Amino acid sequence: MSSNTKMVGVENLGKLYKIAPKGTRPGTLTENLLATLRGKQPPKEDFWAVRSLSFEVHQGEVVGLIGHNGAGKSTLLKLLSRITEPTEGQIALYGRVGSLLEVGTGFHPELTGRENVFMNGAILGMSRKEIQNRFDEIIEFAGPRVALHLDSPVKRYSSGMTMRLGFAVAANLNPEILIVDEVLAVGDAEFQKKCLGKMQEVAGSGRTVFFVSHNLAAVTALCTRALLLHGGQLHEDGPVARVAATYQLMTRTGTALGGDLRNAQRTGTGTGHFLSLALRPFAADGTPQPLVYNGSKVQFELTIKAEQLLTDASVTLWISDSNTYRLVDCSSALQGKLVRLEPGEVVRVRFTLGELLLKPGLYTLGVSLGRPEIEDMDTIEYAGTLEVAVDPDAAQAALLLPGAYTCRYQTDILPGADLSTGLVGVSSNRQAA
Amino acid sequence: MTETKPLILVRPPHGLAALNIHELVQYWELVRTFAQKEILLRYRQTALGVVWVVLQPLLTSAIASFVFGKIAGFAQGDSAFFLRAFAGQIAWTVFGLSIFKISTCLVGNSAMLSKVFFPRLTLPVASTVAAQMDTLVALAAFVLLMPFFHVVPTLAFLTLPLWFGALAVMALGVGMMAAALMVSYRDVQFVLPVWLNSLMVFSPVQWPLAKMAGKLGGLGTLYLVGNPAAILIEGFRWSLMGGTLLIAPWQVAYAALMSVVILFVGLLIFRMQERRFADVI
Repeated sequence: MSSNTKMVGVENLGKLYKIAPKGTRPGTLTENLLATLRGKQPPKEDFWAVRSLSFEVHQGEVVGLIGHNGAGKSTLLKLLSRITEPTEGQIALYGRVGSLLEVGTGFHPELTGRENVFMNGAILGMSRKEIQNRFDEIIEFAGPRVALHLDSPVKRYSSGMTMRLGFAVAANLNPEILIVDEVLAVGDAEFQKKCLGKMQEVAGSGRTVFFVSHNLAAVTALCTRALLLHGGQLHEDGPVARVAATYQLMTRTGTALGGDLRNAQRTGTGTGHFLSLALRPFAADGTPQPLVYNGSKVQFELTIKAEQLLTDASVTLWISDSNTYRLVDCSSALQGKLVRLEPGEVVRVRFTLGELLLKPGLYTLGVSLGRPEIEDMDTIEYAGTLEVAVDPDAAQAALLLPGAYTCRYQTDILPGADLSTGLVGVSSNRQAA
Repeated sequence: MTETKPLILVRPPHGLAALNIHELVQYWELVRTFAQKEILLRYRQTALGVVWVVLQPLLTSAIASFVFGKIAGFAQGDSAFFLRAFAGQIAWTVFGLSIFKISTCLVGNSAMLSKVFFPRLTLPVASTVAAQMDTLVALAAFVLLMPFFHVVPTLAFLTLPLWFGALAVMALGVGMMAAALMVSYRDVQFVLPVWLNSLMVFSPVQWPLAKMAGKLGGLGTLYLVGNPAAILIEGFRWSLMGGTLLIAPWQVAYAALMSVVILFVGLLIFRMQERRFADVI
């Protein structure tokens, strides 16, 4: 997909912001003039939003930018799209840049959708005729709802519609370098998929894409290469899976998996309650590992304390997705194991999942203690977050599929025809492992 | 690896930034779009629409000719005093009102400035184009009114584009300074109307220069040197109304020079501030 033609060359790039120290306010014209006359400029602190960045991007590459909030991603994008000028270093751009930074890039709220399309085209340096030629394509991509409101001011659009039109314009005006920041934050699942598909198509046609998203699964699925920014510096540059794994490890540094549940939001009678939830991921062969991957062995350990006499209590743990659908349930009662405790006694209940088949992403953990249908002693709907990380060694293609599970399965492609069914051609056979 | 010349090289700006006027030519389509947008937006959601372009200076002139013509008595023996006031008002549309419109071109488009790149210079230039479109409409109305006041265009009419151009250029210069300063100091938006108002009162917009020049002598010359816009406004009116030009040729040359100087200084300030727009706005 990528060729050797250089599209972007960044050398030793740095951007310095002068920030006012904490507790000061911006001066008025008179104050600043007086301060200058007295030779006393108010003190300013230096802040390098990005520094010493050097990298090259070639034609057809899709580069993901990842990093924490404040790592310098947005500043880098602003520099690349020439919205702000660098303090040091240089950027060489070998093509037209189309950028989509946050919602509704460069839209004037008072102008209609149609007028904004033409204005954005002009901003990209296109002639009226060129835009006219692409107009129908843009509107079709944005969808029927946008087409319906094409002649209403953009200020009356919903954020989703603005996003749709913004992305449609940025992607269809054919810039050689496309910069996309957090488009997936707004817009429904269908449009997100459409965007991802379009970005792949753009890259496939030999153009270059910069993509920023906090949705690591999307970055991994779309990009071939990633840049990890940390504190304004380039921390790692390489194949996306490897960089994503580094990033996930960085987010984990110093924080234990699981946590204290004593102050959690809960319901229940309080006869007994949860003290803590610990989470331990292991590799398939049983060695401990720092992150939970798809297919990991995972151990959840719940510590429970009884306030009063506890007889025959059952412990339940469940994993829900972001839509609060319960995906996985573990119940001690189902396995015939009930908890009996004297007042003040503490016990640990451990669930071990042999193979966690959830796809990379964020899930929530819920726990409950009680006698089913009789008494709810302690229920915590949000007992913790489970992050299933992108396994650097696993194939990444499946990440675009919407399902929550990836079952381990085998695909067989059999030659010839199966005459017994009367079907001619290639049949595939999926088997859940 | 293919080594080609980059299309765009982004580097930190050094010293006095290059003025890059050629960008304007390259992005003329954008200037047109912005100007169109401004005209469109100004009269969107108004009941009378573009009629305001003519109605506004007409109403102001009516008030001016009542106050200065009837009450102050300047109109004695001048049957076309109202038209004279209207001509002055159009000159003010070219100058003062455009400055006001240009001054908000950056702050008013802050959402776009912080999201996309385009040559910033296109904004004040587009504002100028949009503002002067208003002037052209008002001028058309003026020509239609001339027969009613028995005013016949003289040869002076041919000099109109020169006065018009000089005033517009000066307005662009001042407007760019105001726009650039307004990014960092919103005070400008409070100071500017007051300054413009006093400038209008002290310029021969609503009263004829003839009433003053004769009385002040040397002081009058000093006044014109201090307020080159007054020279151009008086010239503008003279080109429309005919009669004798009360200002000396050297004064005209001085005003023309000043308008170019102001344009250049405005451009310089705008360019120097430009690099900070996206960071500060």
